[in-house]
Amino acid sequence: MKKNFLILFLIVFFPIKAIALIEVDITRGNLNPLPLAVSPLSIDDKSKKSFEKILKKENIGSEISTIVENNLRTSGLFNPLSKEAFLQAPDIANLKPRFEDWNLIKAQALITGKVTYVDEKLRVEFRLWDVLAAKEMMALAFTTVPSNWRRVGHIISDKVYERLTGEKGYFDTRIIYVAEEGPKTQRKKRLAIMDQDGANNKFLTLGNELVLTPRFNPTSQMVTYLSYFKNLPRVYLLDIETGTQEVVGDFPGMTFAPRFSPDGKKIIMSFAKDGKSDIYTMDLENRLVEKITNHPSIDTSPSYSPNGKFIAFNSDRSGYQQIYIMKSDGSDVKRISFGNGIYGTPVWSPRGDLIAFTKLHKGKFYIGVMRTDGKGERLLTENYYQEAPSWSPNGRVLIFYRETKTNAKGEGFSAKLWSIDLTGYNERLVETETDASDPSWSSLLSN
Amino acid sequence: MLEPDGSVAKTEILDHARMNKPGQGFYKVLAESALRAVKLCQPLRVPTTGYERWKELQLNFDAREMLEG
Repeated sequence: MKKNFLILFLIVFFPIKAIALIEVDITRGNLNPLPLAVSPLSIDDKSKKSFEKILKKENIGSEISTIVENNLRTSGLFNPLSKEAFLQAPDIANLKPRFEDWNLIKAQALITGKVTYVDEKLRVEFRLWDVLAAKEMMALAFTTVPSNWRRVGHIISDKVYERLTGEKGYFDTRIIYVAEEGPKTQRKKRLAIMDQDGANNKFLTLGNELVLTPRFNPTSQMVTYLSYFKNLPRVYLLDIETGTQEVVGDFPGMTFAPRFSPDGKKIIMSFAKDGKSDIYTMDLENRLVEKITNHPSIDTSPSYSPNGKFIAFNSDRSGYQQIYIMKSDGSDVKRISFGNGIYGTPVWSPRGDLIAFTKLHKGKFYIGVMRTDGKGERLLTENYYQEAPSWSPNGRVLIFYRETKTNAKGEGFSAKLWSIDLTGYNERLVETETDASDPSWSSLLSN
Repeated sequence: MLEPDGSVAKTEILDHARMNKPGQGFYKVLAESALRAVKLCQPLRVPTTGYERWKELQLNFDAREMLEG
C-alpha cells in the first residue's frame, strides 16, 4: 500500500567489515512532517497597488503564501516554519536562495515566488527548492484573472504536494454539504458549497425544502442530491458552474442516496417499495432505468468502483446490515464485511484499493476502511455519532460528519464536518459557518 | 563518500535511469527523501581508523517494512 512517503530515514551505522565496498541496508525510518519554509510571494509596488484596488487585499503575495502554508500544514505531512525566523527577503530568495540561511532555520524545502499584475491579469511564478541539496526542484508560472487568487494558492499547494509526496494533491477542490440551522426538531437544511479550506462559502438552496445527500460527479462540477417535493424525495442534478438545476425524474416509492458512476454518465441509487429496497441505475442521457439487485432484502447505499466494474452496497440479506460487492450488472454478489457490528455507507476509494464505511458497534460509531475483499479492516475514528465518509480525490483523506449528544433538556446538539487521514492520524474539525452534515468532496478543479 | 570526520562529502543516487522514468514518481520521491535523511544525519559516527576502508559507502534503502499496514 502506498503510504506516507515523506520519510526521514535514520541511519544506523553498522560495524564495519573489511570489504571493498561497504553496503548498509536501511529498512527503518521515522515518519515526520517535512519542515519547509513558505516565503511570501514577492510583489512590486505597482502590482501591489493594482491588486489592492481590485481585490481589497493589502498584499496579495503574502495572502497567497498564507493559503499555501495553511493547506500544507492541514495535510499533516508538512511543518511550515514561522515566517519570523526567515532571514532572506522574498524577492532575493526567489532569485537565488541563500541555502545556508534556510538550513539554519532547519527548513528542508523552500517555496518562493513572485506575483505581478500584467494586462489586467494576475501572473504568478513559483519555485520549490531542496534546501539540503541546494537545488531547484520545480518552477512553474501561470496567469489567471485576479479574482482567482485563492485558487492560485491551492494550485501551488497541489503542485508542491505532488512533487514532494509523489501523489496528486487535493487542495484545489470544493466540498458540498448540507448546512443546518435551528433546533433539532425543526432544522432548516440548505445545500451549501465551500472551498476545501472553508473559504467562499455559498448557500445553493433557500431552505424551504429538505435537502439530503449531495454527491459530486467525479468528472465535473455537477452535483446530484435529494430534495423533498410533496413529502416525496426527488433526485435533482445541479450544475455548480451555471446554477442550472433539473429534476432527474420521479420514481416510484422512496428514493435514497443517489451517486454518480465514475464516468458521470449514470446515477445509481436505491428505491424502496413494498417493504423492500433495491438498487437501480439511471442513464442520464436517455433516462433509462435499470434494476441491478432483485432481492427481498433492503439493499441501499450503492457506490461504484473507480473503474466502473463493481458496486459496493449495503444489504440486510444476512439478517443485519453488512457490506457487499457485486459486478456492475448485479451478478456475483459477495459479502465482504464480517466483523462485529452493523456496517453502512460503503464508499469506494478513488484509488480503487479500499472501501470506507461507517460501523455501529456497542453503541459507538466508527469510520473505517477495509480492502475490497473485506480484509484489513482498520477503524480510524470512534465517536458518539458519525457517518457518511467521502474521499478526497487522491484517496488520502476522508471527510465525514459528527453529531453531539443532547443533554436531558434537549440542548447541546451540533453537527460538524471532520476530516481524517487514511492513516487514522490528523483528525481535524472542518470549520463551517453553520452546523453541517453529509459532505461530498469534488474532484480537482484544475483537472 | 565520507570525510574522515564522518561528514558527507558527496552523494549519488545509483539508479539514475529510474529517477526520471514515467510512472516511477514514488521512486524519485523516496530517493530524494533518503538523500535528505543522509544529509541530516551527518556527521556519522565513524571509527577513528581505517578511513580508506569506509570512506565510500553504498546505502540500500528499503521502505517496504515502513510502508506496510
